[in-house]
Amino acid sequence: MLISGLRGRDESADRNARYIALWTTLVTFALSLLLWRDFDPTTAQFQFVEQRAWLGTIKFHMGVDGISLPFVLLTALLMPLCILASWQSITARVNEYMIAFLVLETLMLGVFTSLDLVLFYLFFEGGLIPMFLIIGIWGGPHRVYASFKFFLYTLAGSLLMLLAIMAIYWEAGTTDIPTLLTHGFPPAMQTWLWFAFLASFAVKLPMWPVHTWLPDAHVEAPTAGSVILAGILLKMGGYGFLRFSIPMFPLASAEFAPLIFALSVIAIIYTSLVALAQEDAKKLIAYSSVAHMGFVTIGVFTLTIQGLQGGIFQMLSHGIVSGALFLCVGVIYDRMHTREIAAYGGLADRMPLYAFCFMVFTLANVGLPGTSGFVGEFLSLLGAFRINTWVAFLAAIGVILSAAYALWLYGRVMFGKLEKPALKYITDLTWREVAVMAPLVVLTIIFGFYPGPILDASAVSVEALIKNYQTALAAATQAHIALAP
Amino acid sequence: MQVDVLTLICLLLFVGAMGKSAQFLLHTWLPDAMEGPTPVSALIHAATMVTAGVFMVARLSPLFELAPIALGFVTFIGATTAFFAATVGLVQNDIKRVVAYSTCSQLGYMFVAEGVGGYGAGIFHLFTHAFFKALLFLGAGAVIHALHHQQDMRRMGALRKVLPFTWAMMLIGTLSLTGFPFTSGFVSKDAIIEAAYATGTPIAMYGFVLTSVAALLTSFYSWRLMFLTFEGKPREKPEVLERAHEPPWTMGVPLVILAIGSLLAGAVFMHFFIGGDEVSFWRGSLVIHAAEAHHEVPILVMLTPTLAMAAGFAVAWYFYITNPLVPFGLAKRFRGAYQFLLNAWYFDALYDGIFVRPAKRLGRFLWKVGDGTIIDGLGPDGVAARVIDITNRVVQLQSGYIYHYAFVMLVGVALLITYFIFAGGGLPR
Repeated sequence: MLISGLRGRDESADRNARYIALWTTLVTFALSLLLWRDFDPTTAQFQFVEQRAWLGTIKFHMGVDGISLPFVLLTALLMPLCILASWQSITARVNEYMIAFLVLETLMLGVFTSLDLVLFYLFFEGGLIPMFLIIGIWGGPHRVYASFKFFLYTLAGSLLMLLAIMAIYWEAGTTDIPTLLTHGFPPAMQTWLWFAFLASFAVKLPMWPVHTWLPDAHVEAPTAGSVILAGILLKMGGYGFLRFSIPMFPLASAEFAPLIFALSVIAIIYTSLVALAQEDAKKLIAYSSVAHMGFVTIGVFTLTIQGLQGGIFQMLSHGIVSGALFLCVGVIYDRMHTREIAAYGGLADRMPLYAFCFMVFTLANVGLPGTSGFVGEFLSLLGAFRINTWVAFLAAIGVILSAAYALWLYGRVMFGKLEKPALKYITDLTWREVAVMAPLVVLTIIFGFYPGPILDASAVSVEALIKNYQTALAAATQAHIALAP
Repeated sequence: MQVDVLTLICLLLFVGAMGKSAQFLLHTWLPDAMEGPTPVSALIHAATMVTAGVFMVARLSPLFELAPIALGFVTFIGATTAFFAATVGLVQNDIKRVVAYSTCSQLGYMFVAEGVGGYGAGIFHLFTHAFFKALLFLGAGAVIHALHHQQDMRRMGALRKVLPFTWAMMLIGTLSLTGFPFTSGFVSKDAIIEAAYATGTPIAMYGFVLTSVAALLTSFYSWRLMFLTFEGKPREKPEVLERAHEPPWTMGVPLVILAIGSLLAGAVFMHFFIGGDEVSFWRGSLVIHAAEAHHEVPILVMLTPTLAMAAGFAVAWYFYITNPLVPFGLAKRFRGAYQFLLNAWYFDALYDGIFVRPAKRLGRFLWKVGDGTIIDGLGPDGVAARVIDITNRVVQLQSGYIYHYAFVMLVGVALLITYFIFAGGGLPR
């Protein structure tokens, strides 16, 4: 089934553009739910495979498995919400804005479903363009700086991946992903291919120290842009690790996992501390995103079932929660046109509904049991604990720091006396904003108590991934022994 | 130092219990949490939630029994908390804060009991404490309610005539808390102090001494609270006092129920928790030391809590009834010590200095210098700036003047000729 083919483009009035975008994304979401219904979670094979001749040996090859399905669902879910969130805040060039979003959705779904490296690269890089435009045209005052920084950072990373893809082509003779997953690359080649992919994914994720584009991009992007950026674009890096780095280069992954752990732990503690010092609400959440992505990389590279499942779940949960937090900041930004934390205070009195939503997401961001944030963090830490106690210990410090900055942010915005005269007449959520928030609140809590559906969907694929990884490692060890005199 | 895994597990579990049960070093949140509504304080911060730590240690007693070092640590922290919180309670002026520090202190007692292996005694004290502490909190709430949200005891006084019912209820709570013979607090506290003495190890003796001293301090600050609130001269404005009224029956009935529990629950339920029926009552849900059930202690040790209580009462009477100026004189003469206690040993300031400020400063530093100067400076911004520098220089080369170009050509030709003459231009000679 070709999800990404179903896309309507229309060049009519602003109103029409909004409705068309909304309906298109809603239909896509409905289709993705159908996909989930028909998805067979008992096999690790790729399903709903679509294959067409394209460029000689490079095929137009798409499909989903248990690892990509959660991301497809996440993308399809967040998109209509983003369209709704920009209903009134975007007034200039509505047509183009909506087109950019629909193109972005197509490309992101393409990233998660493509089964050919060249096709993947195309979608992966193509996603930059609409995002670049969204930040650069509908962004804040420093949007040009931010969008160029975003663009160049990610492009620089991806070029190395492009080189690696060419090398893979000449080595294996194909760029077909299912074939490559079983192709054993020579160890020396694995190392540099792994680093080339790392360069790209680390920037995307982002990992420390290549994260500095993220706060700028988030602050300047329009609300919906931030939601997509935090909710989906960042996940492409994590997905890349799961899809390429680990299964294709298992030896390098095993060898350099400590490097990933070190970078992740630095990211968690470093960016949490930086988040503590922020005065801009959006920047604070952006830095907290980097910290939470640190949990993802730790979980994924533990290469245990718990860690991998935790990493996937954490990405999903973070997509919902941090996306929702950006929406929350967007709500008050739309009203007051400032993101400065000090400009607010005492909003809980005037905006009870808003206070409730914001609270749920703040608690989920902290990782409170009963919210989706807990499940991901707990599983990742559980996996990490088995591999390296110190990594788990240091990462757990990040949990404490996240409580500090997130609750402090909430306290400063929501509680205290409503003193600022400008805030006296601030209004609570409109029905449209409620419609945006409600699904996210519900999902945050449902996944917190019952993470089963997502974990089940990905379980078999994750197990297969680990099995292949271990077989590859064992084979390499045996080869090593055989070679030894 | 080598620590076995079990000890480490128990220590870490206990750190969790310390946070939950507001023990020394992790106690600072409890008094601040008294900002909440009084019934919430009574239920959560006195009777049920904070005792979760005590409950956990008792529930995991089979584990803790195997880790004597961890148990010693439990006793040490418990005793220190009992003493520390009692000293701070001596000088607080907010009626709810006095009760809050008293909670902290009583939780310390429970941990002392558990640390010396008396898990039943610890839970027993948890049980009786719930009655009298909730009673005291709700009583304090009734006083605050009557005085229109006045929590400062310096503004109270002589309320016994105005609020006789509340006074009677608070009196029962105070008697039970201070360990007046045969009240609930008496039987459970006695059991703890005796168990600590009977165990006899150095750390248990530390527990014994500190809990005994804390019993004296407890008696003093509890009676201080009673005297400041209900006795002496009225210090509140007459119009407020005129409007002061007893609580409605909805608030009164719970007080009566709790008062009955504070007086009788200890004596009635004692044989289940620590007396003859304990084995059949606990049914192996926690560890019971058979020998502990009937320990022989000197009569003086048995009397210690009662003596401490009487002494505390006497001192409080002298300070606040017969000679109300003495405390002011003392506070002036020992100003440093008074401030030290009033600010709860300066833990808030200390933590602010050790954790909060450095974390914020470090965060700022990493943000401005780490992200801004180093990563961005050497990374994207630096590269961009260098590219601009280089292009600017390159642009300057293209000046458009013929004679510049001609000069460069001339130099180039000269260099080439020199090269050919001296090196032979790479041609074979």
